[in-house]
Formats: sequence, C-alpha cells, structure tokens
Amino acid sequence: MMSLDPALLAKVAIAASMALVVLSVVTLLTASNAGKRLAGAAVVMLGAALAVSALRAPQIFVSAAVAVALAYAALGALILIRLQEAYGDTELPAIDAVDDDAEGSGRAP
Amino acid sequence: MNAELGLLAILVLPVAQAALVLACARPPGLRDAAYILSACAIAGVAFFVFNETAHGAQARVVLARPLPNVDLAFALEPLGAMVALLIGGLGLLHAIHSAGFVRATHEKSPARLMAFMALTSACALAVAFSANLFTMFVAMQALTLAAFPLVEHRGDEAAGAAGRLFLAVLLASSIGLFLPAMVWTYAIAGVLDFRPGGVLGGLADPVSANLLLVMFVFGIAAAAVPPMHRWLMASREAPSPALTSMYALTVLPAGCIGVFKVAAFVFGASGLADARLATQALIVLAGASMCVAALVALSKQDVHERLAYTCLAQALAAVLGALLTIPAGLFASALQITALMCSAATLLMASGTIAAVTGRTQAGAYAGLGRVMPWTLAGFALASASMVGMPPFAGAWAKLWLIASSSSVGLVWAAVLVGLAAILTFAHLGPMAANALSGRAPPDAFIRPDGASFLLVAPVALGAVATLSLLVFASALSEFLKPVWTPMP
Amino acid sequence: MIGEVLETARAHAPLLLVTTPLLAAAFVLLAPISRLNWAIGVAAMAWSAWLVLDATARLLLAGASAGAGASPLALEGIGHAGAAVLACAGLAVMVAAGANLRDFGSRERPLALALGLCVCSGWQGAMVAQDLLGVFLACETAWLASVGLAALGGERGALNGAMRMISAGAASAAMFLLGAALLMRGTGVVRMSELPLAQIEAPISSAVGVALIIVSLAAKAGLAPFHAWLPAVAGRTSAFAALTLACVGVVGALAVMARFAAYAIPAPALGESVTNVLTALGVAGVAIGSLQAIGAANVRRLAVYAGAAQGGCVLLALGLGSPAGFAASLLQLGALAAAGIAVLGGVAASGCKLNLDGLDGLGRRAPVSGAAMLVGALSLMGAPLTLGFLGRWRAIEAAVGVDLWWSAGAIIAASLAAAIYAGRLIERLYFRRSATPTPIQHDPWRISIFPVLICGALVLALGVEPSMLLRVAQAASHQIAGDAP
Repeated sequence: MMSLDPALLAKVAIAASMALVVLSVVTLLTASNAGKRLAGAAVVMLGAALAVSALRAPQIFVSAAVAVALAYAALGALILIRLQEAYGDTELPAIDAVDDDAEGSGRAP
Repeated sequence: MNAELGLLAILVLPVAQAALVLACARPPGLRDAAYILSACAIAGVAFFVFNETAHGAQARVVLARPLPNVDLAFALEPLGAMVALLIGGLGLLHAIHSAGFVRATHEKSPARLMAFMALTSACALAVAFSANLFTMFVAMQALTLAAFPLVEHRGDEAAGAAGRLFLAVLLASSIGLFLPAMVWTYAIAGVLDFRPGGVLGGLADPVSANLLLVMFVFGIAAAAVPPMHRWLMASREAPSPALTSMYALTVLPAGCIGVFKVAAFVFGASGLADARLATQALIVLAGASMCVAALVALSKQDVHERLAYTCLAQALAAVLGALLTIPAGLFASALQITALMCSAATLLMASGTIAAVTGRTQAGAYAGLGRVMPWTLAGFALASASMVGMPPFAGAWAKLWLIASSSSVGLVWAAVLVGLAAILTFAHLGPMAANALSGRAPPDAFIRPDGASFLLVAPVALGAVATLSLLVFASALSEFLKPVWTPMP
Repeated sequence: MIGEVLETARAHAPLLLVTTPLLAAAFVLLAPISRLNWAIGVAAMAWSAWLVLDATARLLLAGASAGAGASPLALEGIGHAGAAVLACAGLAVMVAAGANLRDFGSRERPLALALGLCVCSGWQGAMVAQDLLGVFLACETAWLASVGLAALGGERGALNGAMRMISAGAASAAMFLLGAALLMRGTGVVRMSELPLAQIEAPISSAVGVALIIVSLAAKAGLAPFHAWLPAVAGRTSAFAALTLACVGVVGALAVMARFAAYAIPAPALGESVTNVLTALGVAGVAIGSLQAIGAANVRRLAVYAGAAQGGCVLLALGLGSPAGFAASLLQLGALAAAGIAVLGGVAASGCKLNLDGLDGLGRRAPVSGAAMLVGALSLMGAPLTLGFLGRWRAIEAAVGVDLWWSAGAIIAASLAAAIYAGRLIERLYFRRSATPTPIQHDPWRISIFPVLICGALVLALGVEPSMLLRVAQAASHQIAGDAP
C-alpha cells in the first residue's frame, strides 16, 4: 500500500489553503455583488484558518480565526440586509452609481 | 529703550499696525490716521535701531526653540538695521501714499489691504533680522502667506489665478529647495546660525557646496532668479499700493536680502569658493537674465508690467553682487538693495498716483503728463535715472561698485552685463520719463476734478529725494556694513 | 485610600487601557440618557489618557524600565508613545462627539458611542498586547467596531462604505493570520519582544510573514494602494464615525505598524525585508495619497487622502530603520492625529457642506472652526512652527543621517503636494465668498468645539516648544530601536 510523506502532505495542505486564501481575496476584491463579497470574506477567513493550522501555529490562532470569521460573517450579513433595504439591490456598481448621483446633486452628507 | 527692546518693537509694531488698522477700519479718517501714525512709529523705531547698531549695540531675541540647537531668533546686525531703516522710512511714505490712493480710487476693503501690507512689512523685517536659516525660512513662508491676500485682493478670476501661481512658485521653491538645503546644511555644519564668514566654509565637499548654493538661490524664489520670477509677473494683479509694497519694500527686497545672507553668512568667501561652478553659473544666469528682463521691459506698454521687469533686473543685479564672493561685491549688493528699494518705491508710487488721478496705465499715455503733474513726474524721472544708474542717484553708486567688484575678481563679462543692463534700462525708462516731461500737456488729463491730492504727490517727491541719499551716505554705509563681511575672530 | 487606588491603577495601566473603554461601552449601552452616555465616554477616555500620560511621565521621561516580563499586556517603547497618542486622540474624539452625535437617531446614539469606545479600546489594546495573537484580536476588535460605526447613521451611502470595510478587513485579517503563522514557523516566537533575539530558521518565510503583517496593517490604516474602503466611508458616513476612523483608526493602525516594525527591524535576517516593505508602501502612500488629495472635491475625502499621504511619510520614516526614524514617525503620528481632529472636527463643528465649495468663506462664517481648520491645514502642509513641520523636519533629518536622500526627497515631495491641497483648503476658507452660504449650525453643546480648538492650539504650541515631545519620542524609540544593530 502506498504511503504519503507527511512532510509532503503538510506542504500540499499549506499550498492548498494559501491558494484558497488568494482566490477568495481576489473574489473579495473584485466581485460586483455584495453577497458574493461577503461569501468571499467568510471563505478567506476559513482559508486563513486552514493555512494557520497547516503551518502548525498554536491552536488558539485557529480558534481566533474562526471567531473573527464568524464576526465578519455576522456583521457583513447585517450590512448586506440593510443594503438591500436601502437600495433594493446588492450589486455594488449600481449602488455606487446611486451614491455618486446623490453626491453630485449635493444630497449626500 | 535698549537695543533688544528696539529689535522686538520693530518686529512687533507692523503687526500691531495691521491689528490697529483692522480695528479702526471705519471711519476712513480714523483708519488712515491709525495707519500713518503707526508707520511714523515704525520709522522712529527703525531709526533708533539703526542708530543703536551704528553705535555698536548688539541684541538677540529668542522667541522659541522649535528644533534642537535651532532657535527662532532675531539678531541686530548692520544689514538688518539698514533694511529696517529703508522699510521704516519708505514705509512711512508708502503709508501716506496708500491712504491717498485708496481714497482716490475707492479701492475695496482698504483696511484689509493696509493690514496685509503691514504684515508683509513685519515679515520682511523678520527676514532682515533673522539670526539663522530656520528663522529666515519661517519669515519667508510667513511673507509668502501674508503677501498672497494682496495678490488676490481684487477677488476676480484673474486675481485668483495669479494668487495661486504666486503661492505655488514661492511655497514650492521654499519647501522643495530651501527646506532640504537647510536640512543638508544642518547635517553638514551642525548649526544654522548666520555668521560673518559663513558656516559651511571647508566643511562641505565641492559637489555638496555647489548643489547647496543652487538650492538656496532658487529656493529663495522671492529673489526672482529665473525661472523663479513668475511670481513677480503674477503679482501684477495686485492693486498699486500692494505692488509698491511687494516690489519695493517687502517680497523682492526680502529675496535679495535672503540671497545676500546665504552668500555672506552661510557660505562666506571660502564656502562660495568651494561652490565655484555654481557661483559662476548663477552669476551668468543673473547677469544674462538682468539684460533679458530689461530688454523685455522695452516691449511692455503696461507701466506696471514694465516696472515689474525693471525691478526684476535690479534685483538680479543685487543677487549678482552677493555672489561675487568678495566684500566689494557684498557692498555693491547692499547698495543695489538700497537703490532698488528707493527707486522702485518712488516709481511705483508715481505710477500709482498717475493711474489714480488720470486713469493712465500705458507707457505711451504718459506723454506730456509732466506739464500737469510736475512733482509726480519729476519724481518719476529722478527715480528712473536712479534705476538706470545715472550719477548722482543711488543706483549709480551701486552700479559703479558692481562693475568695479566684478572686474576686480576677473569677471569682466559680468561688468559688461551690468553696463548693458543699465543701457537697456535707460532705453525703457528714459524716453518714457522724457516724453512725460517734455511732451504737450494732454487736454483732459484728470479723471478726478480735484487732481492729485497732497497725499499722493508728497510721498513721490520725498521718495525721489531718497534716491539721492547714497550721494551723502555711501561712504558711511560702507563703514556701517563692514561687520557683515568681516569674519568673526 | 485614593493614593492606593491610583497606585493599583498605575500598576495595571495596560489592562485598564483596554478594559476601561470596554466597560464604559457596556455602561453606555445600558444608560438611557444621551448626555450621561457622552459623559461616561468622555470620563473613560479621560481616565485612559491620564493613565497613559502618567505612565509616560514616570516611565519614558524618567527613564524607568517597565519590563513586560511574561505579562500579555505591557506599555513599552513605541507602543507606549503610540498608546499616548491614541488615548489623547480618543479623548478628543469623544468630547467632540457631544455635537457629532446629532447625525444619529436617538436609539442609535448609545450604540455609536459604545462602538467608538470599542474602537479606542481595540487600538489601545494593540498597543499594549505583547504577542501576535493579542495584537490580531485587538486590531480585529477595533476594526469590526469601526465597521459597525461606519454603517450607523449618516446616509445610506455609509452602508456601501461599511461593506467595503468588511471586504478589506477580511482580506487584511487573513493576511495578518497567515503572516503571523509564517513568522512563528520561521522564528519559533509568539511574543513580539522576542523577535530581535530570535533564531531564524526560515528567513524567507519569516520575511514573507512580516511583509504580510505589514500589508495587512497598511490596509487597515487606509494606506494607498490598499485604501479602496477609505473614500467611500469618509465621504458618506457620519461625522463621528469619520472622525473616529481617521483620527483613531488610521493612527492606531499606523502606530501598530510602527510598533511591529520596531521589534522586527532589529531581528537578524528580517530587518532589510521590513525596511524595504515599509519604504515601498511609504512611497506608494505618499504618491497616491497626495495625488488623490489634490484631486479631491469633498473635504472629508481630502482630509483622509491627506492622512494617507502623511501615513506614507510615517512609513518612510520607519523604513529608515534608525532610532531617529522611529522618533520622527512618532512625531508625525501625533501631528497626523492632531491635524485630523482640527480639520475634520472643524468641518463637523461648523456643519458645512462636505463639497469643497461648502468651505467658501467659512473662515468668516464660523471663525472658530475656520481657525482650527487653518491650523490643521498648515500642519498638514508642514508649515514652520507647527507639529507637522517638526515631524517632517525630523524625518528628513533622519533620512539624511542615514544617507537615504531619495527618502528625504519623497517626504519633501509629500510636503509640496500638501502645500497644494492644504493651500486650496485655506484659500477656500479665507479668500473666497460662498455663492450660496450654508447656514452654520450653532450647536448648544459648545463644549464639543473645545477638543478641536485644543488640538489646533497643541499643533502650534508643540510646534513652537517641542522639547518635551522630542524627549518622549526619543525615549520611546530608544527603548526598542536603540538596540538595533
């Protein structure tokens, strides 16, 4: 039976979690929908927690990462709901356009 | 009153004058009285300070220590005392003229105009008495900020654009060149104090010395060494009294004094010898620009524009003298600053008077005005003669010393450039003054039924008399200024 | 009795710096009266400020050592000075909140105040936390509270800004965690104070870790090019949130960067990477921040872009890696906080429109706010005899001292750009007349203008007589960076 080298496995885990972080950061910064961004935020924190674990950092770091991820998700969800209520939309370009218009006409604070 | 108190008073009084004028903005009589009386007080204190310095008094006022080993300090020294006397004396004439001008032209916000002119005087005095580079830098910055409202005074679009250009040139050069040069000097010499003989001599390597000199000369953009002269042209948007203040009493003279102090007290002869290449290049630039400015003035019909170029040429002559690295050059520079202040103040006040009472601002329109405004145009002619360098007026002694000192250091071409600039100055001022005095009187000269008031004419005539001052005092001034180029033991 | 209480408080100052604002936040949420809430917030921040200033007098100026030992929280060196700046800025923001809370509904006010206190607590916690996890948690607490505060009040555009903060914050948090994990893997240390003496087994991964942490903090400080969240929030959120984010949040993140750099730069095999990253970020911050400030048409955005440019100068000074550079960066941090409060507080107190033309003639219509804004703008410009000039001068001097001329050049370029945007601000305040003047709001809570005025006065007073400040900055930088190789 073929046995996998634990060092290699660790490296693969690190690489995979790093890739997850990078991909989700890209999503986070480029997605045009606020919901997708929020999902990206949750995934990036999850990826970071996995990477921290793969890098053999103390377990408390992983717990901290999960806690912070939850906090981001909760707060982000609240803001997402209020965005939907306020604009009737969660597409950020459309929201930006509305804000820019409002600012142009001097209604924004 | 002792010398220290006098020094403090001469710096504070113009600020108090500004506050007083603003507080007494109405009625106009009270405002003008406050302005002129406080100018009298400044002139009195300036004379006292000059007298104390002539008797060997020394004083140093430290206001703060904002950086380690660097004070915000002012020191009584001959150059500062000379400039204070000029600012005080000519400032009194200018105050009287300004009062007359704002009454004649119904200039808007006259109290604000007067207040900022007083503040620029305070800043120019601070430059003159600055005890170190840092204080001079602060004073220059304050001078820029105080002069900016004068350029923007009219409040229209053109004045706004001119003000922004004015501010951009003076602040950018100050922050971008003067500040790093100052830090560099501090890094090399460990001090920023002004000392006769300089602080950099023998300490800076040739590359650093050359770069530093260039940075200082261009960093003090108030001296208007091209291409930093654009503020001078931009400031033409200011009302006539403000122009007189900036060109003849505060900003331009302060720039010349700044370059003088850097050459004499930061570099000294040995420091400038280390920066030989930059010194020569800057002398070429100043000399050539002096001729070009005088030539450009020929092409200008607007009198204020023409006078701006005339003043630029004269200021560059003062810079040239300061860079000659010898005591004779420094003396020539000091004489040139004196001549510039006396002649430019008279010319600008005269052109202001003419504009106020006849509405004429073009050189061609001056023909025959001497018949109806003899005192004003006589003053204009005398000041023009001084600008040109005709004996026995102030400008003549300055030019003579400049030519002699240039020749004595082997820069015959610099002497030729000074001579050429004098000829070109004659070409753009001489015919104008001659036409004004000899032409036929225009039939409807005055736009005001009562002509020029005493307040507008007397300062011009007295200013013209001031251009004769060096005839009497040149030798005494040489003795008075000797400590400036005598290195401390 | 009081003496004993004070001694106990002094002994536990780091802990109290974190817990006092948090406790106050809890009380604020419970208390029903708006003015009582405000008084609680002010009292908490005043107590924090007293604690840290007292510790500064005793430890930094008297030269006494406050070794952290094994404690997870301690005041030392750069962190100490940073905490002092933050506590004072927090106090000023909290006092100014008296008037600024009018942007919120009556039910939102306690929450806004509580979140503001959490922001202060979080950044102060990051200043005293000794290990990377503590710093991470403190930063995230502050950030999440900032997001909540940004989303409250203001117009609906504030929600858009808050969503951007969520994105930036999550990316930044992930980077911090990754960086910390890589650094721990490479050096084997968790406490930052052990970094300078650490045996570095994997220099490359450690360097990457350090870079990630710095970039993460740069995103939280709103430094270009990681500042996409900043303009959206600054232009559209409430005055209180803008003031808190710009003067406590941005300054806090920069102070944490300074503190982390002070531990990482002396570490063998890491120093060069740290200085390179800081310098690159500093240059980018100066260039992009300055350009954006010049082009800004909204006064709050202008102020935060200017802050980003000033933050770039802070990083450039840190990137010098010398004690003089650290001291200069601390001075610049103080200048940034004070100028930010003067400008943004002045805008908030006058209640003028946020478009730049809303400032036209404001100097005449609201002379007190106008004067504060003038002083703030002069300090941003680096005008002599202001705190901004002092910071710039020391930074340029430090750069020249280590022959990094181009770094000095970048700082001077920032000053030149500042002359343009701050000059524009001053021109509008005093040299233009408004075509349609906005009526100035005369708030009954006149006390709230005091911190703005005091900050303006401090900018001038400390610019004229900075010897005490210089001693503090020097002592703080020497406690850590003085041992740098």
